[in-house]
Amino acid sequence: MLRIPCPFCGLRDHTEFVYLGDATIEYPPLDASEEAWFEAVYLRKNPRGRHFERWQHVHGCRAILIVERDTLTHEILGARLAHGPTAEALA
Amino acid sequence: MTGYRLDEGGAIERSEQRRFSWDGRAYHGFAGDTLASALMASGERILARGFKYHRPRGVMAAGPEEGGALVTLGEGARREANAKASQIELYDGLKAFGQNAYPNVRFDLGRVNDLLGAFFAAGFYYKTFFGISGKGTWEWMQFEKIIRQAAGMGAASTEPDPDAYDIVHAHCDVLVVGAGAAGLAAAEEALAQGLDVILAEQDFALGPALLGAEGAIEGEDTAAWRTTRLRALSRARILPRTTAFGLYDGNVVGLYEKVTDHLAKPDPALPRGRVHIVRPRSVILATGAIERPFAFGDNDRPGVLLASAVETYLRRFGVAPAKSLALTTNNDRAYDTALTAAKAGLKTTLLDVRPVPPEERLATAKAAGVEVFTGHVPVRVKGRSGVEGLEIGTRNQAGEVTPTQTLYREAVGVSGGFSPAIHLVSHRGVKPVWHEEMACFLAGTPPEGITLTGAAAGIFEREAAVAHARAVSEAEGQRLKGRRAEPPRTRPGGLGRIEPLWEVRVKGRKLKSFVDPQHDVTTDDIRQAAAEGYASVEHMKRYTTLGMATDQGKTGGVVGLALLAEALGQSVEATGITTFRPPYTPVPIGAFAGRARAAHWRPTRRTPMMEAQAERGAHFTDAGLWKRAWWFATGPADTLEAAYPREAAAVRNTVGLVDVTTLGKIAVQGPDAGEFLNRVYVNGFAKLPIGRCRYGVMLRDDGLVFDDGVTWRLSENEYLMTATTAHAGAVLAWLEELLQTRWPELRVHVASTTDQWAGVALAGPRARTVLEKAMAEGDVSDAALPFMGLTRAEIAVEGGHIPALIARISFSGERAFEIYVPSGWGDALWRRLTPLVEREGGAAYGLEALGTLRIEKGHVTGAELDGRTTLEDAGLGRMASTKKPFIGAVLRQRPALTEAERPRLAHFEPVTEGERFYTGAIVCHPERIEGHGLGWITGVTLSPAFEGRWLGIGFVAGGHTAWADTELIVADPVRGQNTRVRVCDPHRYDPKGERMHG
Amino acid sequence: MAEMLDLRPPVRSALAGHLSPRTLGQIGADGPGVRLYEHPFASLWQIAAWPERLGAAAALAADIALVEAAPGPGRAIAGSRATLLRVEPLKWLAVSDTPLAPPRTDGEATVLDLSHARTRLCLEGPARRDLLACLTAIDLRARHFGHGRVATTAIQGSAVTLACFGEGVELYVLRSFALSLWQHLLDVGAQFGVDVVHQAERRQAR
Repeated sequence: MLRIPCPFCGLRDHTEFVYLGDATIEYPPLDASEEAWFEAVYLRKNPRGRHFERWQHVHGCRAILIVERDTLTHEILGARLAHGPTAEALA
Repeated sequence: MTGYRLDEGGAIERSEQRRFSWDGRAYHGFAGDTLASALMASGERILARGFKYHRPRGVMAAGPEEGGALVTLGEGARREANAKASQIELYDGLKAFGQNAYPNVRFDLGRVNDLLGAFFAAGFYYKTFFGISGKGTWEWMQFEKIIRQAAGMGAASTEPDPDAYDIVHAHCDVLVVGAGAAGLAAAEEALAQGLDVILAEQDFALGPALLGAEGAIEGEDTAAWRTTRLRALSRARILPRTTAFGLYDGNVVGLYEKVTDHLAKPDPALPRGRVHIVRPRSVILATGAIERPFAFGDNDRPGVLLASAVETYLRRFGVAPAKSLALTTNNDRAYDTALTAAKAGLKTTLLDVRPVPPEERLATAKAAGVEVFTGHVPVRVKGRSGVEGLEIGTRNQAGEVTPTQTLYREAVGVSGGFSPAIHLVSHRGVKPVWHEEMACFLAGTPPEGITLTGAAAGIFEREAAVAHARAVSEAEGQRLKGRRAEPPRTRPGGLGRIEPLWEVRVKGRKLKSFVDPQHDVTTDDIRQAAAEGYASVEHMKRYTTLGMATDQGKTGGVVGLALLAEALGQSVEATGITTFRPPYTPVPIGAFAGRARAAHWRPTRRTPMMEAQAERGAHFTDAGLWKRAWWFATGPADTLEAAYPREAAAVRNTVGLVDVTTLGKIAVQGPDAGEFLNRVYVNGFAKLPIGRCRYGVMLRDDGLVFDDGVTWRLSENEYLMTATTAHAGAVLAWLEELLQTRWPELRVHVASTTDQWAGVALAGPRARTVLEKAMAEGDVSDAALPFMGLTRAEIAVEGGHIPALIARISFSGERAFEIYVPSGWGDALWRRLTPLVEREGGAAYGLEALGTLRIEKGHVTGAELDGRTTLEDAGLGRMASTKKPFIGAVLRQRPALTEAERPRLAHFEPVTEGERFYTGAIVCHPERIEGHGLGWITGVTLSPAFEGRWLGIGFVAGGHTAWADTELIVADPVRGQNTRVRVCDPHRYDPKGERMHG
Repeated sequence: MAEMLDLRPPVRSALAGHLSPRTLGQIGADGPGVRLYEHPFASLWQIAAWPERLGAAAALAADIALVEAAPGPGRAIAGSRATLLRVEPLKWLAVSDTPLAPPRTDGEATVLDLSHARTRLCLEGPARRDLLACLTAIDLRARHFGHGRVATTAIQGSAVTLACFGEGVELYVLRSFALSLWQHLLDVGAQFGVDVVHQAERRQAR
């Protein structure tokens, strides 16, 4: 069982969350080139070790988190709110 | 001779008799007995038959490592196969049966297999997959049935499990697994530090190995020490009958607690068992060690036990396996057993493979009257249905054995060393490390938060184990308080000098020596596997099935791999051990389901109108988690097939009422809400006036259609979005993702209001009449509420007025209104409208008729928007704005998504009236009825609007215009039918929308 | 406004027909392990803040409930007009037994009426935490989830907000799931001995 430290709710089982994919992807503007969109939507690295991922706490505070996870050991190294302004407001 | 109860001793309650039955005959034992100890005390020796050879088997152990006494418990739906007699707590009324034998375990016709041993050697089963020489697969299949009959274990019940199970979540500071001396000490120490402690013990007694034990711990008499610890632990959560079956990521531990198995008359409200999912900050594994045997001739005969088991039966249960006992050992431990046995009055002989045992041990044994043979080993057991004697021999430095004589002893106790129970830490990926001196595998370095202590850490001397456990617990307590603490050093030891011994072989003698009695794997099988090239321990395991039975190789595993190593001429260390995987011991499969079965296998969502609908004859169907009215029966003889066309016709001719509460509803609020919707939907929302609705379609990033629905603008900064029932949750999550990750600057809040609003659609030419009659306040005339308009009104119901939001929206193609009220009044709304609808000659309609209406009108639903559909495919291409960018705008332009030949939405009509076809069928050209064809059917209905004919909706390459003059075939290979169809425009019902707008 | 409210018919409970007082399982000499009842509220408003104006929204929420300060993450406070629960980073719920008028926000926050979207189930009795431990994975130990604590978690696959007040735990459940969850509580709770009581009786007993 992965346990994710939600900055709002505290440490929770991963079953309360939904995985939303690679958090390092920057989505281009809506009218960007097809190449830019293709890259953002389809191309993924498969890193070994530390990785940033998006998880949404759907059965909790509904916040989307940036979770740092070691893909090799499954160790969760930390989590923060994805929404910058909200993270600042709570800090 | 066989086992008997000693006149005194043991931690059993001799005043509390327990009556039970074995193979239909009445027996009794005492409170504190196991089934194994009670049967042993009753003189029963043959309790089971072997897996392949049907050789008689008896009790071999006193715990989960039991390899012989596998029995079936209970009857009917509660029949449980392969239970280990040595783990079953005795209770009044217990019924146990022998298994894998006919007619019974004492006289089994299957024993003939023992004579055919050569045919059942390792790999036999796999080899036969290649077919029987010269014959084909059919012959093999017949043969297989016979083998499966003959070889096997007990038969599980085929009835549904009648018991309930709970999954219980727990949190604590320290979880101690195992309540032996080390576990008790560790738990006590953690508790003393103010920590929150859970202590789990697989046995029904805490400190089971301390029961009946002599000597002292920490200067206190053993029994008193145990009592003191239990008193100190009263504040901890103690779980007896609870096995830690797995250790997982995040150091989460799975426990299985037997709640009622030991009770004669359990409270029916109690679950049979509980899976505890424990999230401890620290796990202390005090799981002990399991003795292992070594192999010699016919070492599976009833009466051959592990030496430590002999001691347990004598001390804890006051039972002797026989009047005379031969113990055989390669370490110091069995000397204690010998003393116990001699003291209990057994004629006791000890064979020590070591030529020179420790002098003091030797002297004590001899003084107690134990006959000791040093440098001796057992060669072969005499006796077919149980031990009658033991042929022994000398063993020289080179390991060569010379038989010398036969000792007429009726039980044999074997000690070949111990395997620390490191299974749980291995589940976390910690590799076992071979300890040469102790001749056992110890755990490698565990991750933070897991520690091993006691015999599990290789510390076999009790005083040292207790001291280590206290030190470990103290260090963990300090760590949890954020202080640095040096963990104590672990010094394995306490067994004396072990002389590794895996098998006794005699030159020129053929012995049948078992490594895994549960799966009938012999030493020859392992050598055969090695000879055939199965050089990896994992391959050998699968080829011989060593360690794949219910005990998972707890005793024989190490012996088997050592023999493999020997056969390959390499070290045990280099050979390694197979990976331990959960569960440590079997867990009923129902326990993992917990309460999630039958009515609770998933939650049910109900609309507020469900009860009123049921009263009106509604039949319900599942739509995701929701129950939705499917059709309304007018009488007991009514059918779905008769009802839905009638309901659909009512909508077309007069008026119908349908519950649309399940639609996803999302509040979109804030000054940037309009801009947000404008980016999410393909069509423009920036200029949607207040009090108006608009149908919108949203795409995914990849340009394919995600969902559709109508969004209502309630005020300047507030919108109500609707989403399909199926996608409601996903749409909300998607909007949240966009707001939190892509457009953090937008001032928009979204929230689900699905449960806040109950809704109905009132559709048909007489819809307005009904609505006007129901309203106390409001105006729904064409002028006040045009098509796609929105208004607020008051509906008069019994007891008062309810506020309603009314939108002029149509899914059916008729003049229609969607009416939403706060859901606490949904029942009142339905009850108010139904009689009004019926008075106009209309009817309530269900999901099936809703489907009919939308197929006729050519509206898409989840059946069409399946994640592969583009806007153009769905016939919605014109909706896409060219004036603004939106999600999916770029990738939807990719060539493969814009080809004219893509399957497009169409209507399909059978050429021959009365013929029908089915959803899921494939649309083909008449000359090429093959493969994926030209398209597929997504919905079929009997259509009142099209002269009562069958009508299908689906996709066809190029759309209906490409096939205007060509008949196609709807092929249904599953039903074996082909139907000639015409392809039509899906939007031909009231194409100008006069009925909706009128 | 008041006249309009008087015209409103009674709100129908999502558990209507299932609330009759009864006991399940064995009730020991010390009374039931769990006491269970529905405690419906009149109003439930969501107050959502803009991140940079979190303080202003908190003040607004405090005004609605008549409390000194709106609660922080994971906390709840009972005010004289409403109880405030902090449920999301930017959101509070204001729950009241008497109808709350739509709050004025002046653009400092958004408010949303969810009075009919949920109901409130109350669990009391010595085994309440044991029963909840069969349903949810969160840490319910008193020192982690005591008086004034709030947590949203998954029960049976749907999100439920739990609040602890004194010797009781309140479950804010979505209306459509309420009956399913109620039946689940009864089935699992029977092993502890459940007493289903009327809310009115409970409030008198307090």
